[in-house]
Amino acid sequence: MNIVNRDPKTDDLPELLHQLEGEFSRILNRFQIPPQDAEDIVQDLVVLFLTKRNEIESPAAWLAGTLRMRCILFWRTRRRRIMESIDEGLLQELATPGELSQNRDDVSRDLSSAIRHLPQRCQSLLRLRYGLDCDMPEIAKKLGYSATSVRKIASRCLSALTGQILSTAQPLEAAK
Amino acid sequence: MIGPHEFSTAACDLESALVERFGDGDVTPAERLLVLNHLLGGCESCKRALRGRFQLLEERSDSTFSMQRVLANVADLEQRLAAERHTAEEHWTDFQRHPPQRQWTLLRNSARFDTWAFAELLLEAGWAAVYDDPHAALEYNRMALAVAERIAPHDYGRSSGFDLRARAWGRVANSLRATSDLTGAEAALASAAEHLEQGSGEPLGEAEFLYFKASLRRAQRRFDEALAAVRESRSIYRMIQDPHLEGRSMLCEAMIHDLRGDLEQACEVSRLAVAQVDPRRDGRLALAARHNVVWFLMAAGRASDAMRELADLRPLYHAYGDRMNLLRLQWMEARILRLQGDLPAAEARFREAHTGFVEAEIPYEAATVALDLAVLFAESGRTQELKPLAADLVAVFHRLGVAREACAALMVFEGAARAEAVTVSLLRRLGDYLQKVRTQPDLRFDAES
Repeated sequence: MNIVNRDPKTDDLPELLHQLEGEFSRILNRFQIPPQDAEDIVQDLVVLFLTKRNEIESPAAWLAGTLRMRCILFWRTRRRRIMESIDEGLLQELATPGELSQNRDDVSRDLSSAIRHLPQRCQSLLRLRYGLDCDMPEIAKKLGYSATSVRKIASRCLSALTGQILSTAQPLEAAK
Repeated sequence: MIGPHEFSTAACDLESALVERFGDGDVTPAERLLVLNHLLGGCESCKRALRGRFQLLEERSDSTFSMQRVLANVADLEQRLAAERHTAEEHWTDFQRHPPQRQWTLLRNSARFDTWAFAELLLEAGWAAVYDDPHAALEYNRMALAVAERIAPHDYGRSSGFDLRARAWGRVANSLRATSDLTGAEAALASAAEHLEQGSGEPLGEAEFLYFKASLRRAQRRFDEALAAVRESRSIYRMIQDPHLEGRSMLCEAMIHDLRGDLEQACEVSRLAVAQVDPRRDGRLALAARHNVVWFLMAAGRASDAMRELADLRPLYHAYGDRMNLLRLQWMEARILRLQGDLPAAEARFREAHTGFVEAEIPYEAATVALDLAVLFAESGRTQELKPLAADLVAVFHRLGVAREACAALMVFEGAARAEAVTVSLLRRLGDYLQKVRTQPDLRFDAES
């Protein structure tokens, strides 16, 4: 059987959590979790523990390990949302018809400038995506990637582009 | 929220709340364009505000929380879960008395089963059944999935409903694999992955998914992917200090080494797994670990060592009495006896195992054992006996609805048996082909190559 037969009544959860408080703080600080999000993350962690407690062999190790994973997930979600906002914005802007063409030209120029600072592989991929309006299967075909790997590569390239757009190091050409 | 330790956008004319919503993906298309253009326009303060949400920065501030408040906030859920577990146990006693059809009716008609605790009991039952009766395991796991899909995703904390669905889909995938339905298993595993993506990132769920993925890739003979997945699952189990479950993953890893032809590595990893798997937590898994050590010794041609280890182990198979494990025991004994040159005893065991796999409707195992028997006949020059064996096998494959090309391959075998032209080489090629056709149902058997 997969379940660790532990009587939940004999587990002193408050005591265990208080013992781990310092470790939790260290993990949250290491991952620079904003104070207003830290308590939510710890609460989600304890809720998860309650739903899984019958299967957990080493509660302290599970709690610390899961907290680390939750912190990674927290940052991954945040990053993904920004990346998606920028990606959707760019697709939307570059697809906007005629009357806003001056603005679109500016965006195109800024985008080209940002893309030029990225690795060659990302330059090709992003030019197909934003310049030629190719979808993922078309990009995979043109660049010789498999359907599964093109998504991962595209995600890395979009991350690099987002980093570039948000960076201060490289001023964009059409900065107004 | 952009918090006090993050940057504000005070230096520019764009509202910080709008930039914050842009970071959360919570903006209208017009707002999205406005912020994007603003960023491309070079606003340093807005870029810095979003950079703080995009990457770890040098600036640090303490992350504080109140454990007292956390405990107070989860107290209700803790009580609710405890009460649900108690009630679920009561329902379970009654539920088990019914046949599956009636159980489905009960599940469909009553909301009293729609709890996390009842889904857990179904998953446990499915796990326990997978050794003995993968079809029954599949049934329990599908029931658990039905319950999980009726529970709201956020009913037991943020995203944990997705975890439960992912887990149920993973178990469905695993039991489908155990019934040799690798196509179905692949689809179910993809559903598990989709739900996991939306889930909490809880490590036990992640590691179990990776373990099932490795088991499926192993069955599909995609060994590099299988090894990568199983090692990832091992590292998660190590992180949360669960040596028993890491041992389970090691068991899977040993089988991958075996299929790659690295018997020495398979035997070594298998012995390490035996040391880690805790028989008190899962006696059947502990038996499986020791079974595999014997199997690898047999496969390495060390018949005496295998028989010696098996002597200690045999009572355990009978103690558990699981049909599938007993069939695997018979199959392994048959192969060891053949190695030792005791052909009559080997034949008897092969026949018992073959009949058992046919009755359990596990077609590819049934066919592989039959081919072992056929090799024994061919090597002994008993060509007449190959004819009924081949004819029976073709009939079984047709009856169980096995892929057309696999049936066609067995018809080649039947034709060769009728013509008394079966060779050991043909049988070995058929054996290899049957391993591959499980995952490539359109693959044709080339009788000539």
